[in-house]
Amino acid sequence: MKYRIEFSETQNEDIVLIAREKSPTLLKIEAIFSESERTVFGYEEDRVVRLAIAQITAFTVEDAKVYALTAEGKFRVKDRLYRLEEVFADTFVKINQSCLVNIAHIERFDATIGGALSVTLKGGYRDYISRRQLRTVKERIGF
Amino acid sequence: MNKYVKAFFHRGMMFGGFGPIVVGIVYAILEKTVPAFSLSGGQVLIAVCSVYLLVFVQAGVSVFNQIEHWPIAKSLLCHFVLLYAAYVGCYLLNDWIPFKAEIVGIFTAIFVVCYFVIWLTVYLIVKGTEKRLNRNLRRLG
Repeated sequence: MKYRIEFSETQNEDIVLIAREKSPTLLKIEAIFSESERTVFGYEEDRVVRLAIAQITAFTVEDAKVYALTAEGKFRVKDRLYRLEEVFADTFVKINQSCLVNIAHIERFDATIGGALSVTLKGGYRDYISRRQLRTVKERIGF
Repeated sequence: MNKYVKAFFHRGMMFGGFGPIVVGIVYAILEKTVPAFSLSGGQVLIAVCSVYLLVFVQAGVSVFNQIEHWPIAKSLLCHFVLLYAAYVGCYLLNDWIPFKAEIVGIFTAIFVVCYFVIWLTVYLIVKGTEKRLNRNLRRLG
């Protein structure tokens, strides 16, 4: 497959792919662009930011408020965690009662001295996997 | 309230109730198998309350292992000491072991060995899971 990238200051950004069939590469490209279109609104003081789902490393709950963690910081999200879990089930996995992590942002898993497992994300955020969610996490990681 | 204290009480309250149920089952078995087995109302009350507290602590102490800013040794020590105090207190209160230095010493030794064996077993199992998860994660990436 040939590809060409043109840079232009005047034209709208546009991607057109011409293919004979849906190949694994094509599916990956499709996933990348459909992912970048999915967004949530993040609130930080008086600022409202549109956050692409792909850039969110985790959704966490603190004092009954939901936050999206990104490389740029922490943003309040005015949605329930269970709703986010349902809508973004293909991208995020619930690791405990108050945290959903983006599977693509998982850096590593660690065993703790207390016999639990923790997840470390690429941004450095770390949280525990509850026993209840361990089975789901294992399934999503391909156990 | 500190989130770890809250988690301690939350876990304790969730599982504490199972203790008296187990005590009830054990006493029912003893009644059927041991001739002339009997307990006074006071003994039953002490058993129910102390075992409730024991299971409460047992469930709650897992929170020590999740306090990120504590060193490992401190977490393990607090976990061990609280658990040991709950067990030895419960056994002495119910007269399951006599209040004699050598008996308490033997109980302590058995407790230490059991604690270490259980801890090591759980840790090795979780370590195995960690390795497999990381291997699969690398494959996904």
